[in-house]
Amino acid sequence: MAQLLSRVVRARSCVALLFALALAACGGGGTIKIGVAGNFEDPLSAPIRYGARLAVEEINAAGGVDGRQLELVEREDYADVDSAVVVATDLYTSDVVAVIGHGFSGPTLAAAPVYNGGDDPVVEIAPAASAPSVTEAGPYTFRLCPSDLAHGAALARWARQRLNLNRAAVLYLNSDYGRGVRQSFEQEFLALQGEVVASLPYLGDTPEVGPYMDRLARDGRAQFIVVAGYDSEAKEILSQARRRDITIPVMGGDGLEQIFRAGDIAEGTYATSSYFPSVDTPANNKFAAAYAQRFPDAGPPNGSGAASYDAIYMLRDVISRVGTRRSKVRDAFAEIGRSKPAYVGAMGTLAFDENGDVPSLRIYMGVVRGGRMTMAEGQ
Amino acid sequence: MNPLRSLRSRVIVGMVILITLVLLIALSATSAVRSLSRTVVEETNVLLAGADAGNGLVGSVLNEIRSAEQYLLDPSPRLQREFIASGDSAYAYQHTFRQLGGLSTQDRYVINKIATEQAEIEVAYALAHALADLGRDAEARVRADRARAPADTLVADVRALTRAQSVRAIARSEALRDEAGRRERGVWLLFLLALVLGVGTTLYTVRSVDLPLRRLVGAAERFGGGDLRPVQLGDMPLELGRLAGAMDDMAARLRDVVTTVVKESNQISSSAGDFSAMSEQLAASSGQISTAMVKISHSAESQVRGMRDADGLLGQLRTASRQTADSSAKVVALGEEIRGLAARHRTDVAAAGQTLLDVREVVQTSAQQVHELARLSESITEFIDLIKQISSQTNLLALNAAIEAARAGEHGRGFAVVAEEVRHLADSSARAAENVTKTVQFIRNQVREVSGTMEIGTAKVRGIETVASAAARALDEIVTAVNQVRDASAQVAALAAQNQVIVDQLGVKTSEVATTSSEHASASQQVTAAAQEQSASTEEMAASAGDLLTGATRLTSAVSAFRT
Repeated sequence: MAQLLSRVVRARSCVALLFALALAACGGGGTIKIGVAGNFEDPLSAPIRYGARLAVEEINAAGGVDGRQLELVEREDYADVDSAVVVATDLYTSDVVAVIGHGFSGPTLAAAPVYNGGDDPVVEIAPAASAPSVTEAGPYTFRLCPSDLAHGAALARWARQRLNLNRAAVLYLNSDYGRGVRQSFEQEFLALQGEVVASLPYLGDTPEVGPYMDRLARDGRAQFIVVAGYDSEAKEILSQARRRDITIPVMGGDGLEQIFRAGDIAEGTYATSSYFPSVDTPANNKFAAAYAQRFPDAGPPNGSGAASYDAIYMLRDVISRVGTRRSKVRDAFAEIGRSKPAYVGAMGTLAFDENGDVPSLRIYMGVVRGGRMTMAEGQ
Repeated sequence: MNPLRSLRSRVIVGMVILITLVLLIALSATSAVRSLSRTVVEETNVLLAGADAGNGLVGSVLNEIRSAEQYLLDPSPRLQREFIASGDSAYAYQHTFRQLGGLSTQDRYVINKIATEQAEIEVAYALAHALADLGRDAEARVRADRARAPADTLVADVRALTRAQSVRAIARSEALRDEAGRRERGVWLLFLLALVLGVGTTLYTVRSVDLPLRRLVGAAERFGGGDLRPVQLGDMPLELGRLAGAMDDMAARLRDVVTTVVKESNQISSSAGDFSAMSEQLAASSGQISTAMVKISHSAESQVRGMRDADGLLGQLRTASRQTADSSAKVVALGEEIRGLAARHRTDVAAAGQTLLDVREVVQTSAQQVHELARLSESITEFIDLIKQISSQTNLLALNAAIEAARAGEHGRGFAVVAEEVRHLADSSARAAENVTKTVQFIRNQVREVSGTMEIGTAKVRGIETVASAAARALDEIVTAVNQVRDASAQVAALAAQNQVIVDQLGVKTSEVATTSSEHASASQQVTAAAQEQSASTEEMAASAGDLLTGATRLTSAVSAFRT
């Protein structure tokens, strides 16, 4: 009898062990891990983390995904391509189901081959990488923002059709992002019978643009300046321009989203954006309100925040449908807006094309008025 | 039953396993070669793409630098455009580089660095161009010089990257070689396994043949050595099992044979003993013979005389015998004649018999007709009785009528005449009837007579038939008897002929015997001498019998060596 009992106990412990092994095989301790990568100290990218956190907290509060809690694995890449490769390798080898990141086009592209390679590639959802080449970064790379081609083209149309300007001087950050915006702007602007009088590269942060400004001031042909880069560079360019009494309009892509922080010199500067907190849709209103309530000191959310918030919800839907296997998640994700319905979120209607881009998204034009980025009139 | 009991099935199973292994070897080798060649093609493509991208990148950057430097010497919008286009092209190559497969993290760092260097070169020259356009040539030169260091590093980095690619390719090819070696070892291992298995199967089969075979040989040798007791050959393959069974049978039969031989040789040796004894007795008796022979020689002479008399008698016998032969021949000829006669008579008798049978038929038919006649005559008698009765009544009626006519007187006169006539008629009828009755009576007597004659005739005819058949039978018997006589006389003739020959021979023999007998007298003296010689030979025979005895004993002992 005792022998029988011990046999039963042994059988039960075997079953328990098998169950535990099965759970372990399913991806660890019951939580579903999602990687978040970006340079969270940067005001442009910080909302990626906040948006993701907000979505995860909401979902977990509502019971998780099929009873399992979501868990974020946040990794800082310092907006550096080398760090991005390290972070990507790290996340790839961990048991994350998908990665939301990275913040900028350069790190996103540097990390994409890592996520797309190997035996068990993992989905990379870029919330803000707008470089055109992200389109070809690989089947596991998706993005939830318009490509720079769209931003550049929107800029060209705005300058040519709304402001009726003919001659542009382009200053571009000599990186994937800057080149992407420059390329798409020039292409569209030339197509609209505009003229690019100068196409000038610079290097990041506080670029040396003095000689360019001197020449622009001397030539005096350019009617407006396009800054294909980020707000810190735009700030330097604006101050260099003001120093030489150049007052022609300055405009840029979504990299200039935070240019209003530059103060008075930024007044009247245009910047395209795929997102404004003020866009009046039910999903966005709900998101913006929840974001403001949860992160009162973080300022209003931007596109990357909205995109990472939407990305978490999209992942929730996909995982509850197909489980946590990376390849299945990828396939199900690619079906959104194609064989499966589009996702309507804070960013708007998200429907992927065959390259994992979302051409369905609108581009808005913003302008700095009264120290704030506002939506330009007439859109 | 174990399916591996028979040698055939063992060999088949072994071969099937061997062939399977060889197939496995072939498959493994083929797949190895395929996967290796595929990998080699992939690696070569990556390497080629890497080299292309590297060359393109370096070329574009150098082109960019060249146009930038030329612009500094001689500014023109064409060079400006060329500068920008080369930059874009270099950027595209750098992008291609990034997309190459199989890059290590280190490689990615280098590519990132190349991108930075390229950006630096471009910016330096762009600023230099701006300064040159502004006429600040010295400053422009300084900016342009800033591009030199990153340009050098870029070229070095691209080379390093290409080299890294090569190194990686070499490492990969080494890995491939290792892999190939591993596969080769695997194939060899399989081959070795097949070899071991093949040898094992062969040895196992040989062993499973050899050991039982050795046991069989041992058993055969034992049988050869004369030990015919049954042996336990133990477990062995099916085919050898059959052989072992056959050997067992053979041994059993041999045992039987040897047992019989032993028995027979014992008998022979005892017979030889008897024979030896007998020959000794023979030797003794031959002495007596020689004594008897002397007496014989005397009687031989009287025998000669007797023989002469016998010869005379035989001459008479010969004559008699010849006469017998002649008479027999005559008997035969006579018999032949009788037989021909009998045959002829038999035909005649048969014809006569048939005629008689026909007569009997006629007689019988006549008898029947006569009987019929007798019967019919009876009915005539009845008829006559009736007529008599009628005539008597008619007479009575006529009498009555005469009476009545008398009564009638005159008137009845005529009638009395008629009645008288009628009475006359009735009287004549009665008379006629009486005549008929007499005639019929006569006829009936005649018929009865004829009938009696017929009866006798019929009886006689019946006898005739018996006689005819008896005659036929007798004739047959005569023929048979004649035949027998003929055969007998033929035999007699033959015998007589033989007899004659014999008698002739006997005559010859008798005279020979006479001659011989006269010789006998002298011969019996020789016989006496011969008998003495024989006595000596008999002794020799006795000695031979002794030898035979010895031989038989030896045979017995030889056979007894067999252990049954």
